[in-house]
Amino acid sequence: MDKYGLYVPQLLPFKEHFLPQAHRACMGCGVALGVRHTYKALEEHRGWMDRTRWDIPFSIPFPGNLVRDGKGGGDEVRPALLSIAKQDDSSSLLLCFDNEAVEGKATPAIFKKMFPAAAVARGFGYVATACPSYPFDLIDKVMRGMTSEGSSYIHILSPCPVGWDYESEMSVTIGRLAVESTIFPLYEVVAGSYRLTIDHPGKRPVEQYLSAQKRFKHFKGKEIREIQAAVDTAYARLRQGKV
Amino acid sequence: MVKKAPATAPSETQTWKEIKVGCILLEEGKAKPFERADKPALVPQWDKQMCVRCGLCYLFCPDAAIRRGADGYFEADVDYCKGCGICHKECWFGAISMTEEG
Repeated sequence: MDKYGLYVPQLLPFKEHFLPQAHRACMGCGVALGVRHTYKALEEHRGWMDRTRWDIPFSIPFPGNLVRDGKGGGDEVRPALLSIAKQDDSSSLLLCFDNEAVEGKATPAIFKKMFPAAAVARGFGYVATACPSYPFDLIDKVMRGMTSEGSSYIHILSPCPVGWDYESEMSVTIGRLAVESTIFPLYEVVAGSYRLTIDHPGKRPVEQYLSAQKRFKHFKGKEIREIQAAVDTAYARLRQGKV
Repeated sequence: MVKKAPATAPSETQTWKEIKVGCILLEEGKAKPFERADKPALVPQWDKQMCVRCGLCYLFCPDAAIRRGADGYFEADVDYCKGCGICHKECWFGAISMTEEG
């Protein structure tokens, strides 16, 4: 392997805006990884950085047109936030770092599709889903959301070792499993038309994703088959460009 | 002190009297068993024979605690590394091992 001089991760700028002393996230935090790559994506748009509002559980020294979506109560708050983001400013970028940690209930990821769909219905110009396990895809989508016309919404699945109950070293692998089992497909919606950004021909069974986390340990064969059927139906519809 | 449940009793037949009380200290001044400070933190260690300087560890570090040195090899900032082990897991060449700090 010595004959190769350049590897793809080295194409990123090595300058860090997301400093390690700036946050108090747990070890293996998916949100921290997503925020770090968002910073890298926004580096070229230095002028927009001082118009950012962040409100996430760990503090970031960011001089402060992003609209925040905090943790908790997502089902109730998120549609309202979508409306606010739409009214507030005609061109803003809404990033939702989703670690599925609604207090008191664990919402399976299959029903996640509603929020991008709600954003599309509210007339957002650019809507996408992303995952920190695919950093270049995430960076690309944040940059496109920043430069596209009108408001943009990006839904970022952020694995959480504490809430999902797995070993912290599995964080990136879990996100990859979620995408490869098509529970959380990566797609983007430009002007209302859906397009898959990563399409896996040989997709994994849902069971691999569910059994990797202890929060789903009560799911037995019957529930897993039901989830698999629901995911397959949703993915087949998404492939045809429907919601 | 909590009365120990008899070993022969299966867990299904336990009543509220046998189940241990949770989330409280039962003995006064006995927080010693919960101490974690003596457990050493794990930090990544690079094997420079196997490392090809691809930068995957740098790409996936959530804490931005991995820096590129002057020679192109990567190194961890031990002050901020939390020892999550993502770099160890994601390294294609198995060049990173998690060792005890210090």
